[in-house]
Amino acid sequence: SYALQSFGLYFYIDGVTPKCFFEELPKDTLVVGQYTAEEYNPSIQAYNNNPQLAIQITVDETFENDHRVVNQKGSSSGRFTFTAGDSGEHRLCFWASHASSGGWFSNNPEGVKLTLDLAIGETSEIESKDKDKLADIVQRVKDLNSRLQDIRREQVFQREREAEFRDQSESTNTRVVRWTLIQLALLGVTCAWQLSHLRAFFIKQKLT
Amino acid sequence: MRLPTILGATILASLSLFTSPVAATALTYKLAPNERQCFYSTADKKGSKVAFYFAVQSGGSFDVDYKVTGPNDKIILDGSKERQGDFVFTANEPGEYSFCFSNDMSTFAEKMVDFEIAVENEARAELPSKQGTSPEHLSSLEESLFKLSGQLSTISRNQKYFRTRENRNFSTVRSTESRIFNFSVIESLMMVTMSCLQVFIVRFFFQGARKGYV
Repeated sequence: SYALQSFGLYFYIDGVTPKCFFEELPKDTLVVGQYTAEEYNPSIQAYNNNPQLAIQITVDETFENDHRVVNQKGSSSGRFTFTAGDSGEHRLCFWASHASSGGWFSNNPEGVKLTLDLAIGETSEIESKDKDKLADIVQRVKDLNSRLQDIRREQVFQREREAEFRDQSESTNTRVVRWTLIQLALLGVTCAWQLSHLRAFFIKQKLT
Repeated sequence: MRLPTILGATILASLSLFTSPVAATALTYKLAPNERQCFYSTADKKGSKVAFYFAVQSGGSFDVDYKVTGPNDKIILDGSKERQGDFVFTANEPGEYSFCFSNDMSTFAEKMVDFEIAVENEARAELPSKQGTSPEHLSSLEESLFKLSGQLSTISRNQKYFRTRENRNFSTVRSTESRIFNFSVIESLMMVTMSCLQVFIVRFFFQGARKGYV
């Protein structure tokens, strides 16, 4: 976790609103995350570790009625793992709270500094764990292999998306035809109505 | 005698390049209208390379404002209404770098921004763990592995690009579908209104006192 603090990406959250990320994940993708949270301490005007701080991580499948697949509440620093059961958009949210009181009284929008190291895909798990072992050639070939598997999974996902896209295009095409026919029919009816109405009118006015 | 040492040095150099720790985080964030969101990363060593990639996946006209600020509020990159960007810059000063996105130009469109921030920190030279393997043995294998890794990175990048394009196409088709419906309804209403108007105006011409004059 010491290495994480120097190298990871960080952002600020307050104790009330969660910070959410949306990731489109192909089926069976492994996601590994390591996080460290620090709270702003007004007395020293800096961020430091607060043992009372608790971070809750939730993952919802937005394509499945926001079905919650992960709901993990942990201490201020830790690690979480989950595997995507189905292809689609997953929403990862991070919530900060105080462990003891269960609530939060600070409304400082930069109250909590969360450092996150998120690895999506098999390869990255190796990267984030054993950077030293990468020097070994065998390990490197394994790493390349895992990356290939990631690429393969993404391709399968792309095929599914493309099928959806084709369905959408076809439905649009059908819609064009349907509405054009409706409009033509309406045009014909209106024309017939105009002529018959005017004819009746002229007969009534004894002009025809 | 010179050649093996030069070869050995190249191997060491290429190894160190390959094993330098790169901290890369790829995330997709949903920017609400008029929202400004920043992500931060620290560059420890002067001269470390920072790679910043972003692509707007969906929303509005698929563009976003971005600003990359270095330590001492020095603006490194600044762009407005960009669809995607891929930059690599050298961190001249160690410190906190902020990557900010802003959706000020939209009043109701929320944008999904896919971004990746990678900071290449201090390169650590690692010798291969196996003793007794000569540099020549390793060199061709190393090179192939390095090339493979580079090509896989290219494929991954291409896949990301295709995903972004596919999202845009999807959004275009959906918008076409809704537009067809809306415009058809408007056209039908206008047609009916105009025909009624025509009929009643013609009637008006032939009615009453003007009968026989037209």
